[in-house]
Amino acid sequence: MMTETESNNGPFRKPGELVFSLLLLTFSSIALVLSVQIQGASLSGANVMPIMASALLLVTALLIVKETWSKPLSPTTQGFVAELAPRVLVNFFLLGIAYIALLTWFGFLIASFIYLLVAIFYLHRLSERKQGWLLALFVSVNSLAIIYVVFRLTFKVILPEGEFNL
Amino acid sequence: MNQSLEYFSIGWLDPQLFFLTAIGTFAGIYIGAIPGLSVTMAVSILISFTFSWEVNEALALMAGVFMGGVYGGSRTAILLNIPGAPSALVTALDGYPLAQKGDAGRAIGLSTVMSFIGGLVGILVLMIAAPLISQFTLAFAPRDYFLLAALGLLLVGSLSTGSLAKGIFCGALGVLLGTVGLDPLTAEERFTFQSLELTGGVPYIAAMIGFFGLAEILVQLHHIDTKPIRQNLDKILPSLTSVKKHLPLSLRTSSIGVLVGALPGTGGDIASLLAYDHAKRTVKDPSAEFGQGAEEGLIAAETANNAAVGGAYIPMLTLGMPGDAVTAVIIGALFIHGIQPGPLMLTETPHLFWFTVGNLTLANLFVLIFGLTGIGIFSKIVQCPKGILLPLIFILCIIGTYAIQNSLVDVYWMLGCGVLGYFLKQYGYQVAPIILGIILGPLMDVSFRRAALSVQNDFGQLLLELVSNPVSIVLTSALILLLASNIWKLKKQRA
Repeated sequence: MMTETESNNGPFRKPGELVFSLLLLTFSSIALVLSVQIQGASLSGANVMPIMASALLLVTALLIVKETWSKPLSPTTQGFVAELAPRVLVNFFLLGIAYIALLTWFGFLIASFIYLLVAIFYLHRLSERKQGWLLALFVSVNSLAIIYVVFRLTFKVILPEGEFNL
Repeated sequence: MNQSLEYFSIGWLDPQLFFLTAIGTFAGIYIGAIPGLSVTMAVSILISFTFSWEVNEALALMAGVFMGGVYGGSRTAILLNIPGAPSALVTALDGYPLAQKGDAGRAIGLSTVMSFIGGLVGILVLMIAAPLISQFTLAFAPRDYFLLAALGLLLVGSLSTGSLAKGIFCGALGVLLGTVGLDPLTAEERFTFQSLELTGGVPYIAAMIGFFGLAEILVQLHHIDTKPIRQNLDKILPSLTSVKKHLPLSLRTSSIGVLVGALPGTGGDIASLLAYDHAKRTVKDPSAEFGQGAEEGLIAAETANNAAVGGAYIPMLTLGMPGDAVTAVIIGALFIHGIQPGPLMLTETPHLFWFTVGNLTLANLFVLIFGLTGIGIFSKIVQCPKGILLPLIFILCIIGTYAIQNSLVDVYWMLGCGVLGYFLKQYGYQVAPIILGIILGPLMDVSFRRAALSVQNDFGQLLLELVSNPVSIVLTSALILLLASNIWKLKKQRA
């Protein structure tokens, strides 16, 4: 299982960390400008909390940039792609996007079946180093049946229907 | 008193609620233990399915998942040296060495019984302390709520990360996101960019599922090929002599757990750490060296983190302030059901308070029952490969998010928050303060502005009130002290 976070507050910075902190700084600056533009002239105005929060964001973002800037890049770093966006992660995310697109067209059951079949086959092949179409098919069909009975029939949860109303 | 007892027993006497608590606890134990799932993630997803239910049913299920999940985290800590939750980190220190010696069964049995004792102490303190605190907090002014919320956010932001700036940044980001939508006092639009979807604010359940669910799936993909270790489990029921022998220590560490759990922003992780430290300093003749399989170390950690559950409910029910990430999510659930947790809750809806207490007690009993049975099935389920588990969790995230408003826009929010949460986690930021900020942001906003209105927007007068009212003085001092101690601690670390 996991802990809630995988911390990176050691002596080295991770690849892309400086760019990320600069993006946060940019976001904070824009947020402050937008906060100031909200109407409200008094201490109880609608803009008070947004200004306070975004000012705090800006100050802490500056400190974070300074903190990150002073840390050297780890000598053993393998680069951004290998450490933060490995192929398995990118592929999983793209599969997820494709799944949502399928959901909008074909609805929950068909889209989920295709997604589970492909995702389980792909990940299982990576983790167990063997083909597993049958396993993927077995798990997809059974888990979808359970999900449908539990959520749609028991909890009465509305599942996406898709444009073709499938 | 009779009425309180009546409310307390609702969950015990109603077959449906009884069953839901049992199911919740059972599921919680597995959710807490299965690699890739966390209790916060599970409760976040559950909210989206239970928001159309009666409030008692939703609370029964969530209390069971919470109680079972905190306990369940210890299972993998003992068997695999992988803590199921941050609160089980310390459990692994002595639990895993015990398993390596072939004593996994005994370790699980002992941790189950001790978790039960810890949970019971936590609930007892909740029963006694909450009504008293609630009476006291009725005198809180809006400025005190603002200070309390700021204190809670600072505690969460600073205790769990090495960088104070990152912790405060996340808290402030949450507060800012919490202000998106219509202003609660003037109905003026803030950060809506003329979008109708944004006038209702950031869908915080979608954000929660993204930050806690999807982000953790993405983190887990890095360890996709980690193989689970098979363990043999023998008889697990601990002897009465052993329980009696450790009872004094378990009561002491339970007290630590409930106290720490009751502080807004601290949870089972800090509680178990402090309890472990206490055991290390006070136990003269441990069964083995601490860190080498000492039963006392395991007991301290497990009693404290389960006692912290009852403790975490105290600020949640009396102040409307989450004790930790899970109670922050449960507050979200209460809001959805139209209930505002806080000082008035015990006077206006006492049935909910006593129902919650009764329900936690029942869930604690189920922890004992389920904890001591079904170990064989458990060890098989824990070994479920991540290649199967992660796509299934992703589907649950999608269903859960979609179920809130039957809108794919929420799903896109969840995806965005998930990706942001992934990078935040990778770069050492905590996501819990963001969620706390989104939930506490509106409360801080309204409290601060009401406080300003009460002094006719006079900033000098507002400052004067902060240092002239006893409650405000205590809260302001706590805020300053906490900030100063964190800065001092960081400087010391760097020196």
